[in-house]
Amino acid sequence: MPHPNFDRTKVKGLVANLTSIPPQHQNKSQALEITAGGKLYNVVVEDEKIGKDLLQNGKLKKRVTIIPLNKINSFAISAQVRLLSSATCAGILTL
Amino acid sequence: MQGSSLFEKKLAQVEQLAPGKANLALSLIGYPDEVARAMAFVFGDTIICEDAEAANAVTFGAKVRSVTLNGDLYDPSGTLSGGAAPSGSGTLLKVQELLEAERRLREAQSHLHDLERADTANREKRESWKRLARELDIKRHEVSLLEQQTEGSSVARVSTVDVVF
Repeated sequence: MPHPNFDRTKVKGLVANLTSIPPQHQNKSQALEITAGGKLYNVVVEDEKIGKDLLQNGKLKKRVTIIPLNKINSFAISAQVRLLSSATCAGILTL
Repeated sequence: MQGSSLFEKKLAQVEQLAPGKANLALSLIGYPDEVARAMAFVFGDTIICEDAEAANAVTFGAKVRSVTLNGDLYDPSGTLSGGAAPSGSGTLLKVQELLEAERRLREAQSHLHDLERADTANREKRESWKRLARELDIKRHEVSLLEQQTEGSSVARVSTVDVVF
């Protein structure tokens, strides 16, 4: 607990613990694990303030990556950025 | 989701390249609604393919990351990773057991809670029953005492006879 009135409910938990696989897809568990890779052990929190609290005062014993729900960029954007990066860079340069 | 139209196009392309064999990883799992954005970040950019051919076609046809059921990863940058499973694999299956156990625990706890509530509701009834039973015992005893007292007197015998006939 970073401080006494820390709101534990704002820490949602590890990605792994939040993932439920329906029975008909259990055979794909390994593929899903590979998909997530190291992100499986990322910690999901409500906002970046909670994340900051955890990193600075949480006395964490391991290095962790935190996913703040309010700041995270989902796949669509990252995929788009990767694809359009050349175009965007060109745009920025002309500006 | 923001800017997903491009990704939707890709998904349509994926469906064309490997019909029925490719699924977005995100669509195969369940998660609490509140963490949807985080799950999209983790599982939203990869296609799960039934076999290697499908993964090959999807990754190099539609330029999306894909993983086969064996755990081989095809990245559009050109890298392929696979072979043996990484150390510490099977986590997600263990998690499924954990989730199932937690669900059963919650069920059992709510059952326990119900029983406890029913117990407190019944306690009053039980106590009043006990009290009444005790009173009944006392009354019976009084009756037997009175009967013993009156047995000897002839008046009683007469009146009992009267009552009988």
